Amino acid sequence: MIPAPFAYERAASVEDAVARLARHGEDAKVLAGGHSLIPLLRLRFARPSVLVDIGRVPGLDGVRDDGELSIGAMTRYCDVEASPLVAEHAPLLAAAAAEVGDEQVRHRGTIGGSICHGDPASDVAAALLALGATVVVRGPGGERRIALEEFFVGFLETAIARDEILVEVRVPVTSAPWAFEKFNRRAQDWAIVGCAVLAGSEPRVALVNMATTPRRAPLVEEALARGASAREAADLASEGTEPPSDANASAQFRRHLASVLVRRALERASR
Amino acid sequence: MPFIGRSMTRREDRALVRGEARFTDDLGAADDVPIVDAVHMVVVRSTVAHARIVGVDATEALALPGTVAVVTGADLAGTVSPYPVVSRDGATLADAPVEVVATGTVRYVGEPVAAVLARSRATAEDAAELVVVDYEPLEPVASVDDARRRVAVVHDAAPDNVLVRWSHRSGDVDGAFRDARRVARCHLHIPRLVAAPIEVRACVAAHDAADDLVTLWASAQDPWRQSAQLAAVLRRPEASIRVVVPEVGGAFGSKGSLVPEYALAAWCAIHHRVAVRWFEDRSENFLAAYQGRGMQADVELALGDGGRFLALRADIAADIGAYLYPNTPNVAVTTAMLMTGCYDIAAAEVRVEGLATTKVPTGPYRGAGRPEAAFFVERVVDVAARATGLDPVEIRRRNLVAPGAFPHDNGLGHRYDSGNYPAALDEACRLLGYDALRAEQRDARASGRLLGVGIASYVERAAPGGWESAEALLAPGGRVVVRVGSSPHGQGHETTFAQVAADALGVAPDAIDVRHGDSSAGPPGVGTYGSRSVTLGGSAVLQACEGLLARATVAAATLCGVDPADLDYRDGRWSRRDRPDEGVGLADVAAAALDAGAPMRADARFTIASPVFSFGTYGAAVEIDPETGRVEILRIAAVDDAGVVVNPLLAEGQVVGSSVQGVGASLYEEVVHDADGQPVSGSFVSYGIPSAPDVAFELETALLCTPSPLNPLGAKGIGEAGSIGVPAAVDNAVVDALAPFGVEHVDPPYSPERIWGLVAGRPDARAGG
Ligand SMILES: Cc1cc2nc3c(=O)[nH]c(=O)nc-3n(C[C@H](O)[C@H](O)[C@H](O)COP(=O)(O)OP(=O)(O)OC[C@H]3O[C@@H](n4cnc5c(N)ncnc54)[C@H](O)[C@@H]3O)c2cc1C
Repeated sequence: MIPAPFAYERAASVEDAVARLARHGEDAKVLAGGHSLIPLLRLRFARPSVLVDIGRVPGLDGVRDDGELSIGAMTRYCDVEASPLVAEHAPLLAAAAAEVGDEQVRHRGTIGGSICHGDPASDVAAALLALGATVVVRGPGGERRIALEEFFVGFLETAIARDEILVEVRVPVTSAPWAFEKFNRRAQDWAIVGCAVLAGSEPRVALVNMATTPRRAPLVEEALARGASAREAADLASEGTEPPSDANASAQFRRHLASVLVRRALERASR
Repeated sequence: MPFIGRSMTRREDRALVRGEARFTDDLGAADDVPIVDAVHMVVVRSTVAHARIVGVDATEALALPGTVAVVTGADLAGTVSPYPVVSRDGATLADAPVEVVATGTVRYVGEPVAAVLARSRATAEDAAELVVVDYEPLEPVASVDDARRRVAVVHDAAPDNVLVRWSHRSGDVDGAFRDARRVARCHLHIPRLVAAPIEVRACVAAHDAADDLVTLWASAQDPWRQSAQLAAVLRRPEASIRVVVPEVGGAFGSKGSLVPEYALAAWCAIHHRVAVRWFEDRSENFLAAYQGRGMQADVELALGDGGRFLALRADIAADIGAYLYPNTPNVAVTTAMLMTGCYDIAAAEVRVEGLATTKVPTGPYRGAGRPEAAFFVERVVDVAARATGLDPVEIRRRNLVAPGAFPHDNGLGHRYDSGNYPAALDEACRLLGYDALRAEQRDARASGRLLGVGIASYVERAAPGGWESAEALLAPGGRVVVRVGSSPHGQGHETTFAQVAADALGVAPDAIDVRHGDSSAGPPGVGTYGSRSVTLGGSAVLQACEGLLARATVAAATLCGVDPADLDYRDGRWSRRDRPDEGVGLADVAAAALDAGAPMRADARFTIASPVFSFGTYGAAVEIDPETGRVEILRIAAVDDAGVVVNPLLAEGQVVGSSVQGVGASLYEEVVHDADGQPVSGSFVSYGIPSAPDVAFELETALLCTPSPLNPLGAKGIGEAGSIGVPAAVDNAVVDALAPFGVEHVDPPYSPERIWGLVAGRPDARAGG
């Protein structure tokens, strides 16, 4: 359980990190909280020859309010959970962050790492999709903004380029009712299925672990917009999804759970 | 007031909670462990379930700077002997002992094929990746059914793939079934489980060529079985082996037999003249540490008038795995011999077959055969209750062995020493709130909630024969050092044995030091397993201390110039009857003995002729979410009778810990192999054990006391109770909760999907009326 040999470099700034990534090319990987990357290294499933640690880059963490919420990529789950700004303007995100793993995971794992890893089972990714978040990435060519919708490309695959760093997540402030549902066998497990709901005039529903990427449930949203009941809308939750089958649940059971969880979340959000 | 029976906190905990305790991988120069020049061993493991090894190419591995050696089965050939596997309780065994490292054929994924020795752990892992093993695939035998169909023969010595065979019959079984008013039947399956100790397996091995002494520091349940088996495997006299067991982070049965990798490390230490360190990864522990359970049974119970149990028949099949460890066969036989449970059943016939599969071997895991028996018996009893329309508590009450009927011959080779089974049943019903729960259940069902109540009574064979020894030594200053052969791995021997010694010597436990864990220091022992330590080890401590006191009293009499009978002894002091203010203390006697050049000590070896039988009743209340299939445990009542309990606090700790493991077995845990024999549950992501937030239910415990007549303490065993009682009680509760859906049986673990599969699409009897 010792990773294959690699070189370790600590970036001093975002620009420095980007330059290092450009220099090392394909062989380099960004290290944030390490809670997805280090297990992969230890199992030798990932074998980068260089790790560029962005953990001490100044200015990458913390939550600000500049009309939207700006959350630094290196902000840890525990700080998202505890942030008064998040509690006030995006409580759905705080609730999702509080459901991630256990205390240790929440004290190391970062919001940026969770998004960049592109895991379909990420709790905060679904919450951010429901909240309509945008990410800001910086590379050699400067900065670009990507709607989170477009960020997730495939299984553990995102729209970020090898030499880009995610610097910030931008979340529109909202006071709409919300709910987050996570179904797992043990309290600290990954979600077998989860769902994030932001109700209100344009309801948004996103699913955890129901496809190769975190994704929304457009048919549910449309049905709600048409005035369908929670139950009717929730019945459409698994339309178009491709949930995995694994030791914890079959794809068929996940489809069933998605409908149950979406209905429960919609009912909770409308209370 | 005696110390036996008092709840006292563990003296072991101070070092543990401060992080000062030393586990095998912490050992170093300060412990006289030669790790400075030690090499690291990393094991290359089979990636296939069944294959012939065509060749092992270590060229690239050896070329890596820092690699010291690569060792394969071919290197060991002719220098090691097979593991000693002996039959107990009349079982017939095939010759299929586990191998230190595979020679010729691999029989499970994870089996050691080679060992790499290197200067650092990292280099050893890099080199291990470079070892190329060429396999010629053979047909995998991934299940008991595969084994019975003989899709392949796993061992030539067992052409029918049966490695363990045992059967027993008593009474007129056929007649009873012929005359029965009804027969309750069920087919039951318990998956394999892993023990998952927090500390995985680890050792340091060194060979002192000058003395030809092999020393093994190892994470193990005791030094004795490691050293005896190591001697046999390495073909050395036991006197040339020293085993030291430091602090151990859990074993739960899985570190009882010699670990093949320990033998491999010792072999490397001898043949490569270096000290060798080995510790495994969690993934290796999942792959290669022997697993528990993995048993299925067809059980039939013949019922007479009034729900009377007339006879029991059971056919048990165990998924033994690829090889026999010395303690592998005992598990299924233990189950078989307890198949009449706590009931008075006049006739019984039980057959066991342990089948070879190309999966990691099995062995004892907390409960080791008793959880299986309790599950098989208590399930068929609930089936009988449903068939007769009797309440599950009532049918049990009618059939329990009566309190006055001990010793009781259970028809399967055991003689139960003492018991009061109805008392445990009553107490469990009271603690659980059985009657109130039944009332609540009626209301819950009416409103569509699935509430279930389950009861399970068990009897546990503890202290399965054998002996333990102890030595009590009067040390300078009057402290007493008790050396015991019985060696702990988390049970709290130091605390409880000090309480026993304190009572025997009339001093406070603080005046007693308890030492253990080194096969070269102190008296010999057997081991810590089967809930035997207080009964055997504790009795030995008691007798050694009584012996010491008798000797010390004689010495005190000499010092005082009177006859021993003319002395009174209290609180570590003898005083003259005639002149009470004159006397001597333990320190004076110790000093006199030292002056005379003969330190005062006494030994004892306590042997038990037949086992003791703990028992109890567990109750569980569960609620099931019909939409998601999630089973929530609401309450567990655990009533155990382990005879005289030395330290109720520690006993309760054992009940709580084992109950939580029982909950894991009920709700989460299942080792899964695919049809190729590849494990698919090899990490804590796919194999879940309960963590603190999962233990949110109420757990009520109570200890009853029916002393054992078979040892001077009157003690029995408590270490495995919850692992035995909880799964059976929870299972009965789950089936009870699902009764409105016509569900008659569900095997553990009760995953949401499994439960949902039973409920979804089935007409709910409630709706149809
Ligand atoms: C025991 C355990 C339980 C867990 N349970 C859950 C759970 O219940 N729910 C859940 O959602 N997650 C869970 N996780 C995963 C956890 O959320 C991870 O921390 C998170 O997915 C990754 O964040 P990180 O900061 O640790 O990223 P890292 O592991 O450091 O990086 C992850 C990936 O993202 C890249 N990366 C990271 N930051 C950036 C950046 N700013 N710019 C560009 N690339 C970047 C890295 O190169 C890497 O490829 C669990 C993890 C563990 C170990």
